[in-house]
Amino acid sequence: MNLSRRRALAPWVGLWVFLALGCRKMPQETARNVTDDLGHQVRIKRDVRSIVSLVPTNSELVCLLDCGRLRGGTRYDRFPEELVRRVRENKIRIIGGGFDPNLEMIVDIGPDLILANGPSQHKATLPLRRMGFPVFSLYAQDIEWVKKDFLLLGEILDRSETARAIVAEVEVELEEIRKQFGGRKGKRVYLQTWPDPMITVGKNSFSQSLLTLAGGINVFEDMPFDSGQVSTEWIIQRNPEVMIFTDNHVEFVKRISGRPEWQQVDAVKNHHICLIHETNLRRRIRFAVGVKKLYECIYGHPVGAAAPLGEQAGRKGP
Amino acid sequence: MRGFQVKHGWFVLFGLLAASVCLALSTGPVKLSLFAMSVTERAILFNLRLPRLLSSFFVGGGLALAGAIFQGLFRNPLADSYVLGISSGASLGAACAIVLGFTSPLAVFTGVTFFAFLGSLLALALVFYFGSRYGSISPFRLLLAGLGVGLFLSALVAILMVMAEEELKALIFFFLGGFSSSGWETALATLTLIPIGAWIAYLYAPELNVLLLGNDAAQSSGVNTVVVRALYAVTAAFLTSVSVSVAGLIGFVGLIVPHMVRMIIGADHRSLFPFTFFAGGTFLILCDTIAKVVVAPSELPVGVVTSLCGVPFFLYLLKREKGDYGL
Amino acid sequence: MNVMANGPILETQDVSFAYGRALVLRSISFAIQPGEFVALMGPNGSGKTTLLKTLLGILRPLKGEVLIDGRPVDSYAPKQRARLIGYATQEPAFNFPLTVAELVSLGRYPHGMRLKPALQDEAAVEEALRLTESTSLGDRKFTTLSGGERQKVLIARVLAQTTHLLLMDEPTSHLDLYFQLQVLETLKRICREKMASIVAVLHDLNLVSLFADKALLLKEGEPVAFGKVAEVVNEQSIKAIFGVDVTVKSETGTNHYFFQRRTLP
Repeated sequence: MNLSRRRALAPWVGLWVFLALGCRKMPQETARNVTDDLGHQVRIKRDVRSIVSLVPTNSELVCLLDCGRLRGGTRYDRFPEELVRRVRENKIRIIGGGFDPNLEMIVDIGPDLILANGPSQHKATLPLRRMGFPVFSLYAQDIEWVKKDFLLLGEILDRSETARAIVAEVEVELEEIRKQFGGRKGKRVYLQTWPDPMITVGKNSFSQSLLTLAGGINVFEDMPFDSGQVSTEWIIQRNPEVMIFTDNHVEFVKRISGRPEWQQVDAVKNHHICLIHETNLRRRIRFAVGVKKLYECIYGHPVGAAAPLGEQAGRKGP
Repeated sequence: MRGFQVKHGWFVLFGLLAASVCLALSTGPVKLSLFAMSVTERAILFNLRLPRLLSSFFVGGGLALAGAIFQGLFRNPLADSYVLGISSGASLGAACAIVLGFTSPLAVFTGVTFFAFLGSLLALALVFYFGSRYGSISPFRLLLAGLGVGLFLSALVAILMVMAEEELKALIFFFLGGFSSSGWETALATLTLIPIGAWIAYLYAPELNVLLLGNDAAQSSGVNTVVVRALYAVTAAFLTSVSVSVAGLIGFVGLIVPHMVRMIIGADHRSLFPFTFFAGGTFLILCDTIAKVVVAPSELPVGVVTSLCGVPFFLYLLKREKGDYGL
Repeated sequence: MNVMANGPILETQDVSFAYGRALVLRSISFAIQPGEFVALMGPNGSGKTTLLKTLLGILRPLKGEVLIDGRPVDSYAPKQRARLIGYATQEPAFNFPLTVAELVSLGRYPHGMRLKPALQDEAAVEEALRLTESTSLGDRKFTTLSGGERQKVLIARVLAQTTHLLLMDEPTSHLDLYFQLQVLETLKRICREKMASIVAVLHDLNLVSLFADKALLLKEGEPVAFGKVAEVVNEQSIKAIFGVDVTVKSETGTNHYFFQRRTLP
């Protein structure tokens, strides 16, 4: 390579060297490799002090274990309550949403661990990984996996006891429900998460898992998407015994109660309609709360209480 | 007269570019102190803002150049990658690549960009096919074909998004166009691939000039019109697909910038192309900076900013008196 | 590239051409010598433009051959051929603000002008502008010119190509009387001084008579006559091709053509 070309290349080489060496946030402390849900080996410090979460489910998991260590969360984070409070007190910075996290803010926080979700978030955090930040993906596909992830996180944060305790609590709650539910045949339930267009949940979705645990059978369990649009005709054809709606459905419910075509649906005939807070479906590890609410709606009484004579159903849920 | 304008123009352009660079590097949620930067600040500057700057510059240059090429190729002042549906084709290709699983970072160089290129070629073929009759392409027919093809291919992308898992749902933001997750990978892809297309465009600029005379006159001058047209079409599609695979859908850059440059520099492609490239890069740097600032702490997608600037300009072009463009 | 001392510069041998199945040119044979000005005449749709394109080599004949300087036209490399034959089309739909000077210099492309013009390129462009009396238009944008000015500039481009054979499709359209004469005189002079040959589609019988040496008359793609203007463009041939009655008065070898109103008194 002649001299002038070498000279022209020099600044580029220099830049590369700088990038390769500089700005690595991993000092030579004790650290270890952990494999995340996407199969990546991530090098995490033993002493994780500050965490940024890129998705509400992970924010919840962290906060339940040790909320003080959560420094950055998304604008959609809703629980636990402690998290909401800490956000208000500016102890947790909002770094954006799941799909558009503000990379500069995250760098500014300087976390020891970034908790991401699926492959697309993994891709979006490439610049952060390049800068040496550990990005760990928790991407549970079912409830058992959620528990596993939670315990893993507990280990990483050196809070295994807390994690195990919470999981045990959840198991107890689930067992209660299972006992109550017995060997009964589940009731056919229609769960709608959005009024316009009408959106319900499908196969393998988290919400459907909750429904199943609560003793319900999703009338759209054959739908291959996690969530998808459906039409009135299909709902009527599937004839659910129970219809559960999340918040902002008040208008919707009023509307359909008057409509003749809806009258043939069992749930409408028997006034077996509930409205529940959307948050019940969104809890990650404390999902038992959601399951209980669903159970209450489906069977007309809270878990543990004696079943009243006949089926009692409420128009409004909690 | 032209000569003076040209020299003057370059001077002003580089001044603008320098100013934009400074502006872009100094805007962001984190305040950077000029001297005595902390490790974090340096990290932000070199690992986030600098590659983002480079990406937006090269993508802007590439898109502006692609627009100039399409305008010269079709002799239609309203042509650019977005309007002609080529960008939609590229985004369909990119979406397919992601569905098929090419999501590794190197994929910017291989899978996603390659499929985006195939998608853009598909769109090009469709637009050519539907836009021409008896071998000739009238301006309006071309635009309508581009519109139709663009909408159709976008609809296909929408179907993929509905059916796909989390990966593609995330792409809603991607397809709105933006540099918010760009790092050195994206910067490298743009600064190696886009100059290739730009160089090819510049090399054959004299031929494209002659093509402005019309097919017969060009052939009579010894230009192999078929080869030159094909080469330029593919180059413009290439530039578009690299841009889309890196930064999503950004429209109107290829429309606005070449027109403004033509007003200063004229229509001779030998000078139009280089000037358009740098002007496009500067323009997109500015748009990206606006996108960062306007709704802080959130960011607007860059495509929204360029559309806000671009659509009024587009309408103005349609409305103006029959002057340079005979429309 | 050098014109042969003997032999026609352009010769067609039994050339036929078809668009798909429709035969547009049938069996055309003629030859042009260096320095000759040939008028190509015929009604609209008789295949004149098609013939020009076939002579140029951008359309391939179904049958027959076109020979330039003794060699088949498609045996030349494109740029080589472009240095031999220039083609002035009817005005294209032109949308871009090139200046007149920039446009005319496009004619130098076959001579290898890439990024910076060479001296002879600039000279050729200046000469071409001068010949068409368009020098003052040099810096104007082409799209701001009137129809006549545009026509002159397009002709200038072909002249700048400095070819020995020029094929011109209706070079006098849009031009006022002065410029019609001016352009034809320029073309004639180029024929005489540079031994260039010109085939031009012309409609005006008197102008043809004044300037052209020979005429080729086409009707529905068939050659009706070819030869010296005075002999070939007569009352019978005009009637046969255009269906128009004309009175011819001859004067020192030049014909003058007189028309009458056809149906009105």
